[in-house]
Amino acid sequence: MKSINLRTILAAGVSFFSATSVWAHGDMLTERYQIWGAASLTGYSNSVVAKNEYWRIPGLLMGGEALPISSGVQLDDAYLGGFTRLSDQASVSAKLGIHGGGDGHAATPALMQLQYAYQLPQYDLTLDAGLLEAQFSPIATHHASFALFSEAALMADAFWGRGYHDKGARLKWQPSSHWKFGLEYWNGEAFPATSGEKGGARDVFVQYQVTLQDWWLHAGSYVHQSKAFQRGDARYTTGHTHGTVFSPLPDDVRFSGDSDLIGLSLGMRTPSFSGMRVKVDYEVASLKAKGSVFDSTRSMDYEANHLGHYLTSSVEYDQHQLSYRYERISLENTLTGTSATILGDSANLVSSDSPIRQTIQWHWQVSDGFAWRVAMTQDQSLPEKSQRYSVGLVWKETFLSGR
Amino acid sequence: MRFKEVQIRLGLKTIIKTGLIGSCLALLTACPEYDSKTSVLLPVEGDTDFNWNLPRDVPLPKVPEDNPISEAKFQLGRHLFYDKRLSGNETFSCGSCHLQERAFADGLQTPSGSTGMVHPRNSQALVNIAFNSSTTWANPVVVTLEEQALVPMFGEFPVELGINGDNQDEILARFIQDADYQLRFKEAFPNEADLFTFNNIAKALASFGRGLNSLNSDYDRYVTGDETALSASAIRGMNMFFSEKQECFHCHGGLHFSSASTDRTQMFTNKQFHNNGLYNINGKGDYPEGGQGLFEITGNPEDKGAFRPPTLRNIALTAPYMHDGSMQTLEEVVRHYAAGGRNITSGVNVGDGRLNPNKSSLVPGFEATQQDIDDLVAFLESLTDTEFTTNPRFSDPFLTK
Repeated sequence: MKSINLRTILAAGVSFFSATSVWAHGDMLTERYQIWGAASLTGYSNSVVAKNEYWRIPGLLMGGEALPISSGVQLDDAYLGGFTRLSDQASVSAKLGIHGGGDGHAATPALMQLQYAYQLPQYDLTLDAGLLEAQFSPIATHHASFALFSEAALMADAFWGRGYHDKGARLKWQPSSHWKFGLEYWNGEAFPATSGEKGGARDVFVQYQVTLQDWWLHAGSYVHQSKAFQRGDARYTTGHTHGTVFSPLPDDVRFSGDSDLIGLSLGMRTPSFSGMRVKVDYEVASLKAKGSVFDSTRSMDYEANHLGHYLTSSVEYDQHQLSYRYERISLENTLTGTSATILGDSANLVSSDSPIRQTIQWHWQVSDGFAWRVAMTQDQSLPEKSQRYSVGLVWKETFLSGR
Repeated sequence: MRFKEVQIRLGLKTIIKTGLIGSCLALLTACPEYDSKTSVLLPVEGDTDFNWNLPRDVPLPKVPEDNPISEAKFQLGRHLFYDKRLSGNETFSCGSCHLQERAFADGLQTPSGSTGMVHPRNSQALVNIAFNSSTTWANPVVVTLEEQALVPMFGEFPVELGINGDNQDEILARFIQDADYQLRFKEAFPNEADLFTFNNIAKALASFGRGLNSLNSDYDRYVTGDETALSASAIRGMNMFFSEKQECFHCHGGLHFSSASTDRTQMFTNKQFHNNGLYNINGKGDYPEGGQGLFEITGNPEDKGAFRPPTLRNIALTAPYMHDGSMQTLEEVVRHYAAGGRNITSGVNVGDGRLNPNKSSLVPGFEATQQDIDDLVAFLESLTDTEFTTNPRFSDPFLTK
């Protein structure tokens, strides 16, 4: 049932606006090389789930890197990255990172990106290959160090497991400064896909942005298709050892089938009015999945028709940003077969709740390399509503650069 | 020319502003918000009207195609189960070793058959046996209750009911001559010309066994919402039971508290056999002769001491425990698992079961205080279903006639 969203109207009324990314590192167009670092450290008043419990949103098959935040001070992420131009056309960039692992799961450094880029300026083409971070959506990857909020968008957690990075290739065509067309082809190691003969993923996106008399407008759209074969929820696998006090792992329920994602993103930022700017970002995505869900002995047909969206509005004044983010996911599942009841239960797919999350945040960019953020989040991603507060700091530094 | 450009820019600006404002308003007033829902589509089953003694949302057991369940067959099986005429010397029935008040176990370490021959195995409780992925203590080949029913009837090592080639016609004649059985066999097998066969007797006994289902314990009431159904001790015990520290649920998990369970929603049958470190004779992993478990069927030395994990439903009523009835109390059993096996220091079975080379990795042992042990026992006791042990539907019909 479609309904008017009063909360978003109220949100717009108080005009809390934001930017998706408050800082972008490295300008590969002007720099010859650069080495940089960034980190985000946040203290949270509450965990999303109880200690030693697993974050499983009812109605969703989750996976990827979508681990919950936990109470106390947590390293959201930390990165060491850099790039160097090999020639006028070619460059190499790399990013080593640590993602906060959630309760009981140690964060371990991992290579997030190792990308070779080759430009063909005469055709306005760029080819990227290697271990890439996806660009189909403004929130395709989440890095707390670079994002406005420390917590990833709920929709990203739900639909592509938070951060989409995988081995693959990307072809971008940028015929003007306004338009960008992209084609990404993935090995399939990133949720919701699996790699191998029966897996894989690909996407196509188009983005448009223009600045006119200080009005900035962005629009983008994407289609992402993935195939999965016997995909499980590997988020907690490393936390399972016999003889520990950790709760029993959720049943090993797997999915084989196709997932199609279609999304639309819009953004705008106003000119400065008396030193104040207003910014709005909106994204909506539809996820349709079709296949089978099974455990070691049971199987059922599964169809999902989910819809997720978020609206972030910010008001920027000087170095301060006051932001409000509203997120909601509608989950529709159809489970068919003799095992539907029992498998639906063990896969945590039976639900009539729509996860909702609202966040209000004050972000203060103290200096180029240092920012504070204070946030309050009302979380209804699980049936039990919860509220948490967070205080965090974001650091970034360019260690070395040259033209 | 310059003037025109300005006009165009202003026009664009107006268009963009209008578009932005319009888009935002459209977004804000019509953010797509569909209600979440899950539709569960189940195929229609043919035998859901049968009284399975199961809650409606529990998957039903598998039933062989050649032996569909019916109330008439269940009742015929119930009569045969308790009828001593089904033994060679008319002194024994299935019910002699499977007593309802003991959840269809018998309270003996190992029972004797109709001829006095002692059985090497403890009488199993008959609780939710329709869901067993294999039916005996350690035989992966006997998977249906129809196959199993023939074992006590015709078994020679040991003799149980004592039916053999010499007396089988006489035994069948006992039922043929009984008017009540004439009627019951006709109702149970309406389309068959040859009613009185051991095959049909096995089918009827299997049908009775399939109806012996127990899911009405304090634990069941607790998990379905009655928070007062379990004591604080039992709740603590439950949390330990389902934790990775104690590991109990790995072998005794699921609805039927046995990982060796199956139901009709499952494509594959999960047969499981585990060595729990009960013996380690001479340090070589041996179990006492006649009680070597799965090894006796497969001949694989690694299968020595491997037995099917039985259901724990009504476990408080089925002492003594283990395949050979060598443990008398639940506390003894819990201590055994806490120790990670049994160390026998004297006698013919001397050996440290904790070091049995075939012992399951799921029996690592764990630290437990007396309170922990009491709590685990309290939880196991909460699996008792008195409705099951007193239900007239499962009782001896000859006592009420």
